[in-house]
Amino acid sequence: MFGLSSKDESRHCSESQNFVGFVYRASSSTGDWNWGSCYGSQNPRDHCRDDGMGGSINYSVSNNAWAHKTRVFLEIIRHGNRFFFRRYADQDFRECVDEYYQDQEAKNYFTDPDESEDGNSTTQNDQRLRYIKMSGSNGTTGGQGMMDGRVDYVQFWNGSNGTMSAPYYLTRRAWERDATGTKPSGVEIGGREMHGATIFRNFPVTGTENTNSDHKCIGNESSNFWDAVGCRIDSQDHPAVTNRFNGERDSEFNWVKYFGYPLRSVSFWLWKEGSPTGRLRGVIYGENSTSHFRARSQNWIDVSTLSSTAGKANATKCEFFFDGYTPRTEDLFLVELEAPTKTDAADGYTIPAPFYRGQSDSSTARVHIACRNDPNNDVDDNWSGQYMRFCNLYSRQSSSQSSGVPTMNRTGATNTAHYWYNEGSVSSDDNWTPYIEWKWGADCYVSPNEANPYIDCYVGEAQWKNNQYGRSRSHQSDWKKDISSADPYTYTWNTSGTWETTDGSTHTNFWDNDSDSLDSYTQTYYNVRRQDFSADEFDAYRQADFSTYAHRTIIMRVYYRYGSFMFFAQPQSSSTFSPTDSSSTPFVRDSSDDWEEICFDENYYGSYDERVIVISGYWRYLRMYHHTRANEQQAQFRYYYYADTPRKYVSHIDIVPLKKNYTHNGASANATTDIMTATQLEIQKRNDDQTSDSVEPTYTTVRTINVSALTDGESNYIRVPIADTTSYRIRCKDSGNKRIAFSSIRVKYHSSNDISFNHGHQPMTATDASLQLNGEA
Amino acid sequence: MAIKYLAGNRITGVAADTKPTNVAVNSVFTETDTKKDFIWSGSAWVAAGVGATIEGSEITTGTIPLSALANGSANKSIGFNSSGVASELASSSGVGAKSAVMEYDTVGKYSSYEPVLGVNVQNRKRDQFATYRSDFSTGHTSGWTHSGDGAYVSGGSLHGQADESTSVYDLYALLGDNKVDVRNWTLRFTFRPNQSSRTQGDICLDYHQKMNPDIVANHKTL
Repeated sequence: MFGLSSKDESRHCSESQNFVGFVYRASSSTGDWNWGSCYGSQNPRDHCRDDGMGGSINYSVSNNAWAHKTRVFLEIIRHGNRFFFRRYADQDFRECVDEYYQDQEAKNYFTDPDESEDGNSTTQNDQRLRYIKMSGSNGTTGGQGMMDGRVDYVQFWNGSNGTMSAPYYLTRRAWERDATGTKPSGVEIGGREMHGATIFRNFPVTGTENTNSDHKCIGNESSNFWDAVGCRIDSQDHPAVTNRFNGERDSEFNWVKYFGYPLRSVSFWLWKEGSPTGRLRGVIYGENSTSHFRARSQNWIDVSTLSSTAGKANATKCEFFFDGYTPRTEDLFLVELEAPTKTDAADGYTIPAPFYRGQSDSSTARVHIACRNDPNNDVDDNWSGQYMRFCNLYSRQSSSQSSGVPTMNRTGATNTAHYWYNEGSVSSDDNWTPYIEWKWGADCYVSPNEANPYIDCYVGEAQWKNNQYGRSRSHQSDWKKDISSADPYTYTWNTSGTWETTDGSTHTNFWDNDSDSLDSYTQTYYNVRRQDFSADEFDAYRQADFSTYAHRTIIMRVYYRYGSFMFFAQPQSSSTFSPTDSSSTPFVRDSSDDWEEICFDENYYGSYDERVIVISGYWRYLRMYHHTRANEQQAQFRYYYYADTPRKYVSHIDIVPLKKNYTHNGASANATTDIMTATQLEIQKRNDDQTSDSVEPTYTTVRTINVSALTDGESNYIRVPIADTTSYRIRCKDSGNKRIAFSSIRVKYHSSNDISFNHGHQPMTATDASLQLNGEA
Repeated sequence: MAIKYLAGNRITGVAADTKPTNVAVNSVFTETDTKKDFIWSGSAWVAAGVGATIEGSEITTGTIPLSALANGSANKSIGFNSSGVASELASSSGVGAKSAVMEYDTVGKYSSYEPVLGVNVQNRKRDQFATYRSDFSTGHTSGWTHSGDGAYVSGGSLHGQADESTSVYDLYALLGDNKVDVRNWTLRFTFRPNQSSRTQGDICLDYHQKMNPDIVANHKTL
């Protein structure tokens, strides 16, 4: 068993304790794995298994190798009064295989971290979870040699939920509704662009903006007293929920996940009426009910600091941080007022009840949320209705209040069994849409704390991976047009690559563009190349020798399912690299500087899906690994293009830094710790001057930027000298060990013709950090 | 041309004339050939100021010498800034001196900025920025305590065997008064069943069957 426990190492898994976690059990013939929790006089071995969440263990010979070949990546999350248990297929915790959750135990038995320790008493009413624990039991103390489980890469986040740090996914678009409300061409609701965004702003554009008299506010006393206002996710197509798993699900596979990528923050635009006091806190409830508390923002805002002028243009933007929270359909994102004098410590770590400071109709103290009213709402206009409708909570604090001025009694101070948020009701209005901004934290990159950390960003090709995603094979001619019209240097890669399996006994030139040279392991299938992969195959790979060390970009389209591709590049051949889970030391993606992983793509849907994969980097040798999730799978390689010269040139770099980590603090509204400790960044241009397979190209600094000049969590547009480089390096210039962190890095491209006719000249000292981001003094 | 004395303390002449000095203070001398006025201060003839805006049309092309411009900083150039105002620009030294640039774009909308094609980071390493993390490599095992023969760290992993063995890490030692939050926390780890020396054979999760939605449906709670 592995998880969080209330008891130390003296209490094994067959003994009573409070526990939340994972249990793996086996006997000579049958066995199982289970998620669950136990409490009181229960023990994990028996009582985590009776929660009904898990599966069976199979001793069959055919599955024998699995145990030594593939790890599982496990996650336990507390979202308020719910425990989530998730199993992932990859080290980045992105491809969720299955998910379970548990409500009652979380709400009833793990709510008080401060309850007194009762030692080893059999009553075991100690609710606190204190220890990360791994424990085994078979009723004996026979020593080593029993069934063995290995646990590794333990990570724990307190007060927030875990985000990822995966540089492979920095390649995201930011998208926002523009002033006219026009969606970008080609963007479909629930489509890839939105759930690939770092920042998503939905500003309603039709209808009438609210004023004080509309009473879309905390403190609405018209019938039921409102004490929280916000936005309800009313559809799984909401961009906060759709992702690469469930965005493609179908009815057969609708068991696959119902949550989106981890959030960074949610922002509303608020103003005050009268003189409210206290803290504004972001809160999340689930499934359209106040009994489904999920999360509470890590920061809070002093309500007295809000603007007093109505309207979006005058309101105060209030950003609430929910790092790592994974939104679900019907989640309610709300703003509420907390008791102004309560701190976490003073409250004994129970959740302080909201305490409304308004007293009567004649002395209003209200907080309004900027929104628009449009009775003819449709998805294309305001994205409300089904997607982002206004919502509020009411009657949580007043007792039996039906009209008039509510009784403002605090009702939940001691109600730790069910929390105050079980009180009251939820209402939503699909005629109203709040102004809201979502930021995702899933795709950040945080470097280790080391000397001069850097990140290289490959550039030069238009990123039309997403654009081409949904096109059928009949659009092959369009692809060729896109390529050839933009750059005469692009050409089709022919049979130069030979892809070997591990034993080298078979190979194929499946890069070949015609159907004449197919070998075993490949078949002609609707004029495409088909590759078969063994079940759970991971240590088999295909490798190509390109003869020289150079920058290359390959774009291919692959039709596959239940698996992922990883591409590794290496200047010189190497025998030391073995990204396999079958050895005694399993492969860790970020531990190798030998073969560099340059591309990753996954399709863990149950249905076949078209994927466009862009592989860009420096290499002589290129390896492709395919990892199936289940059973023998096939992949069809349809088109590929290969370019060795950049077709587009970069004039700007947009950096979204990840500078601060917000931490719960009762005394400070926006208490933070630094994530990015670097104070100065160098933007360097790769000179592409490598002379041999063993010589790395050099870099030249083109801009020096103070981190203090970058706005945290927002786009920062940095002008750079136009260059025909294939890569930019963003490097920490500080001495000593520092950390760099980014949420997004994008570039602005130009065609050669655009540059020829429209460029200008701007002297910029490469080392002058005092220059503005635009390069001017 | 002879100097002429006019009414109202006004005097005319040409630039080549020697201006008189025995005149009343504030007398005005007009050079008829250069159209310039000078005012007697009592001790010297001072060129008269314009006293109003000079229109562009009043300036003869090529008549303003560079030496008449205000001094600036060393090695700077003059140009138009992003507001279209003539101003001193950055130094002409360094890479930027010959830099070609495009118009500064802060729109940043969907159509103007694109994701980079891919990234590579130093040593392929990253930091999850978690409250606690350990990969059980050397130097990253402190704080773990073990009970029983089957609980130990070896080979960069935490091992737990199915005898009466337990390993724990005390979060209170790390968190202090903050304790484990009752609202939000996350625990991640990897788990890998390892080969047993017992004769009953290896143990494995039925990973394949779990991927079959028909079977998983029997277990799911969603």
